[in-house]
Amino acid sequence: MTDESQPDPVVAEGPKPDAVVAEEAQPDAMAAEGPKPDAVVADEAQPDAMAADEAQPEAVVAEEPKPARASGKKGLVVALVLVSTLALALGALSAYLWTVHSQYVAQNEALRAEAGDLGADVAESRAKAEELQTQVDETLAQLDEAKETINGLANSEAQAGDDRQALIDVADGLQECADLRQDMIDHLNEAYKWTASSLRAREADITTYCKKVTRAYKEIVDD
Amino acid sequence: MTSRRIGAATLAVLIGSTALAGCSALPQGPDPLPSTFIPRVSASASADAGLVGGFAALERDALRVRVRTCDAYATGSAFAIDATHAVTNAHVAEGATDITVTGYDGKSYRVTSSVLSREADLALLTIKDEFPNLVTLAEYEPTVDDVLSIAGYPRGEALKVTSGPYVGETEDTVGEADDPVYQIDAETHPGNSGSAVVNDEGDVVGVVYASDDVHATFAVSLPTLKNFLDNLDDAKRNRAECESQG
Repeated sequence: MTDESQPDPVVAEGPKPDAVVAEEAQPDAMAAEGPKPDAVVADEAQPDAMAADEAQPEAVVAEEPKPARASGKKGLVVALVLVSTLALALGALSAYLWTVHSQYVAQNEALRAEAGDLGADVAESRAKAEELQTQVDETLAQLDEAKETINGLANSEAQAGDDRQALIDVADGLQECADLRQDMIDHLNEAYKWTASSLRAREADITTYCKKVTRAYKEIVDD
Repeated sequence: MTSRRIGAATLAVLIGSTALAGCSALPQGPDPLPSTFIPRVSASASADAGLVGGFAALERDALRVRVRTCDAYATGSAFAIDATHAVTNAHVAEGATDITVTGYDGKSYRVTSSVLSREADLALLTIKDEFPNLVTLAEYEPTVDDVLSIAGYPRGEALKVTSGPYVGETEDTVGEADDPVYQIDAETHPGNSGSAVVNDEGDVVGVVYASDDVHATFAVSLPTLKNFLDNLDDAKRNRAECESQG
């Protein structure tokens, strides 16, 4: 029993068991070799010595069982600590994940609400933009018409100004023509003061001028 | 006994390491939401932002010139460079006994005096009132294929805008200027003389003075215009001497 209980600590401690086993294996080997009673006796006569030799391991064997039990307890404690730590870690992790999950859920709800509001705003803005674009198009069309009107009126006024200036000039020319003819009449009333050739030349000049003015007047009227 | 401790310690280290590694992969809480999801955007300037009463700056700057000489009438175009001065062609204003300028809106301005360039087909008109719309001269000459615009009063009629690509510089085959002139692939007519040639930034780069009445328009160049305006003391007064019929 003592020998059988030794292997664990002996194995753990080193080579001694091998020696013991070698000695224990010897009987089988001896038995196989045949009768050597004396030798056997002699060998068996040594038990005391053997016992004396085996007494040393016994001291070790007697002390070892206690550490083995303490080690088991420690292992159990360590295992419990580890399990507890793991359980706490998992609990903390779960709590953290739950918190994060809750934050995402809350933010998702906020985003959905915001997206809904923005969508409504966009829809309203688009509708207003389309309405305003229509108004802008109408206004631009009216503006184009107004521009054409202004342009046309400015042009008409400019043309009228040109015509008015021309008519004023023609009127001045006609007045000049009338004055020249009156002057000619005065000359003719005092024909004795002038030579016939000078009077004819003067009359020709006045006639040419008056025809030019008259032609200009007709051109204006015809336009 | 020692190996168990080592094993336990190893296990503890492994668990701790795993826990730490796991923590790094744990999902973080969401970032706080911004105060608003609507970014601030500034309204972009509309292409029609320069319109006043439906008229672009180019059109508002265009002036119609009516000239009366001793024996004829003529029309041309001009543009104001400051409150009391407008630029047109010398051949439009030369010999005038009376010059009247009208804006795009029909408002008239009486020209009190004018001077003519001795070197180019340019004239500067002076008025008593003030022009409301002024042009700015470009800093750089146009480059080939730049699209240039011209606003004026072809044949003395309604205001019209035309545009076309800048062809390049050429010799003055119409007048007697020494400086090269610009050729523009745009349709202009008599009456456009004195119109401003404007680049895509709305700045004046030249002054129309001739055309083939189809698609080739010729303009006094920007350097020549600037030289004229910088040396007005060298310009000659524009006087008409009409013979009396009497």
